[in-house]
Amino acid sequence: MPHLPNPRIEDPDVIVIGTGAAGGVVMKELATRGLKVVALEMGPWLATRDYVQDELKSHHLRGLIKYDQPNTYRRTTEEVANPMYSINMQANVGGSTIHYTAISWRFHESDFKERSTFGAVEGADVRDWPVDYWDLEPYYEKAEYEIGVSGLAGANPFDSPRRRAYPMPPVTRKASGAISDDAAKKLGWHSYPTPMAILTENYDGRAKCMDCGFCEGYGCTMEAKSSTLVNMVPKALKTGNCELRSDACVREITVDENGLANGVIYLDEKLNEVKLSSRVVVLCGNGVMSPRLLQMSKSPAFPDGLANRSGKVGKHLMFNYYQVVRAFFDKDLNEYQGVMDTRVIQDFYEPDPDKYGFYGGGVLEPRGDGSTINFSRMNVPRVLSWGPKRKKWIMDNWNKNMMVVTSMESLSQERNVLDLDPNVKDKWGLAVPRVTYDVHPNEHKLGDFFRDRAKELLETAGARQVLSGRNSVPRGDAHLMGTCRMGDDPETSVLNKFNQAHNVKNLFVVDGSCFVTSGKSNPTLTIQALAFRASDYIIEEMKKGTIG
Amino acid sequence: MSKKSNLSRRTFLSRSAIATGGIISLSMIGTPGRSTSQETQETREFESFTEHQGLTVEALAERIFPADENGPGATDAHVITYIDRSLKTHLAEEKEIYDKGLVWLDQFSTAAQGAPFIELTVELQNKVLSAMDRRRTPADWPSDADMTPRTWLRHVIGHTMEGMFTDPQYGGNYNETGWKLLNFPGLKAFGYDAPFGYYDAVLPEIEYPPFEPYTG
Repeated sequence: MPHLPNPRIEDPDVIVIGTGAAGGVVMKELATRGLKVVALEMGPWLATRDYVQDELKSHHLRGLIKYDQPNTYRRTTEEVANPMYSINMQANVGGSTIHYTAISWRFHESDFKERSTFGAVEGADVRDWPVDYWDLEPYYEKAEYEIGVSGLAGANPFDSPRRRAYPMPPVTRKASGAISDDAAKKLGWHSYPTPMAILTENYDGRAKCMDCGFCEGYGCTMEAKSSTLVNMVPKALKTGNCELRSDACVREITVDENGLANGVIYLDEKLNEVKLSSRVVVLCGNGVMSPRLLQMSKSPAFPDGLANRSGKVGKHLMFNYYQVVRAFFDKDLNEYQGVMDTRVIQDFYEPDPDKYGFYGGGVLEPRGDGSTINFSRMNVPRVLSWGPKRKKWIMDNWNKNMMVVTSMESLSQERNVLDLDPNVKDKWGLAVPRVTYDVHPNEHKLGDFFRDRAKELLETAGARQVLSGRNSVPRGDAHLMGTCRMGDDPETSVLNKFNQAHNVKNLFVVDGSCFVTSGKSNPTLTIQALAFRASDYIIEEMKKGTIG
Repeated sequence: MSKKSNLSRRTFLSRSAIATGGIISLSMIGTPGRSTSQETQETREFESFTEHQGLTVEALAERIFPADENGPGATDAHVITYIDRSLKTHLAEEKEIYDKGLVWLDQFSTAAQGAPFIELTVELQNKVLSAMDRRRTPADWPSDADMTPRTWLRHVIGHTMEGMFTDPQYGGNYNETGWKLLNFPGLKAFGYDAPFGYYDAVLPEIEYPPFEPYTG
């Protein structure tokens, strides 16, 4: 349901598909500069008041925060993929920025040129991006100011150079952050305030965070989390140039006789087919939904899916590999208060492969866990899952626990694929996305190294107990990348350096699918910087008349 | 030793607890395992369960999260109300698992301990759960069951913990019983001020170098 004045636009210049991290930015940028836009969101348009501080509804049930349709997963192409919910996303207006942790750091200079910095890796397809950090630097700044990111410039000695400080001071340190500071200092590491898309001062018409603690995995009930639902979408609509249609699931991007995109066909709330034409189409699904829609958009000009003459659409699926180490302390942490992450450690962001014996790096994110339902039923070695001892264990440990999440590089591999499941359909009658994914052997070495560092940090901090079993191979994730990667060569990539499809010049794919490498963690700010940059390019090219 | 315990003793204990205004949980008393709220009513009505099913799940939940010297348990938190209601809403797909599993449970309980689950003492109920929780399925588990006892028990444990710690609007965590055990203020809190916990209060902040903007 519309919550804001929502003008009717029948003949848009541009259709934007998806209203999440990237779609929100694109619709706002284009509408603000005078283009007529229709934004289509497959899910509902919920307002801030619909999001609740309710662990059961937000974390455990599907619909409000978690996408309610399954995907399928298999490890290799020899297996039949099983239905499950391994893709962590939401399809409400605002997309996954509704529930994300909101960590918003910039990638480092080396992330964009790994191949030329670190060399090739056997069994992986590591390449340089066609853009570098300095192409994006002004757009990172723009994203930090327009989205509303808090942080402390200069605090992280490993950060890439920046021209401007953050628009507001960092989030308040929690117990997990203090533990990180203390142990990192003893180890000679650097613990610094996590840049977060969470307001620490009243900003841009929104009130600052009250540290209520219902943060990651929840929709912010105070609009202090800088989701596109509360910053970009209202600004786009306010221009009068943008219409938002929710519950509009696009099933095909259509092409004309010249092989150019000329609009979409979507299914409305009642599953009626609606055709909508435009001069330009910008696809902002995410690293899973965008390649899926391209694969569903088959035509004589594109028998293998739209913009897929390279055959690379859906290939090179990447997540961020991660390992979680949990620890228990003697005193109360009260981690149910405040934002999720207040400190991060990047001392092992770009280790030398020759010295360490593995490729790629990662980050350590000390964070709390205030969940009660989740905590009470977690697996713990040597503690029964029921009975008086379990009860005592829950009572003794719940407010004493924290985690170090280590998030790492995932290598780009051609065999990791997102395609259409031949057997399972969703509620719209469309093929669900099928994930075929296995880790590269390097990721186990990387994971073992980072698990050991997390353990070291927590033991140095004086933890009473540290749990550090190896996590299983990921079947999905929240960080969805690589499936329409950018590059200069149309034979080996799907998009050019402005997120424009090599094969369809009035089609843009703007989201994590364009990533060439995975970075180490938390791709959202990079997605948003790319979205601001692609928007500038679209506007210029439309003015010049080269597209649309 | 598998038959019903002495009901008159239970009635006496429950009445004395009420009479003295005792806040001690009735189900803390130990035997029998069956729900104590049975004493004063002839029948109990449930939304999804038959009476026998409902009382069995209530007894199971109490074994999973028992009232004891550390505080109240699943019965006090109305976990049964949560599960019973939820099987009509967000747990509707689990109804069949309960219908089938509760039959298996009684078959197993009768074969292994001589009586349906709710008629066993707490001690024997715990023995039944321990046997179900082993990695190897016990020989007495019904051969036609299409789920191992351990897997089935995991469903009930998961729902019991939901019922203990959910927002009270779903029927469980009655009077915030579960949250109080943790000192979790739950939804009463709309914000906090630093310091939040012990460690951020006592450990010093790091001093960071001033920001030097890149001017190239």
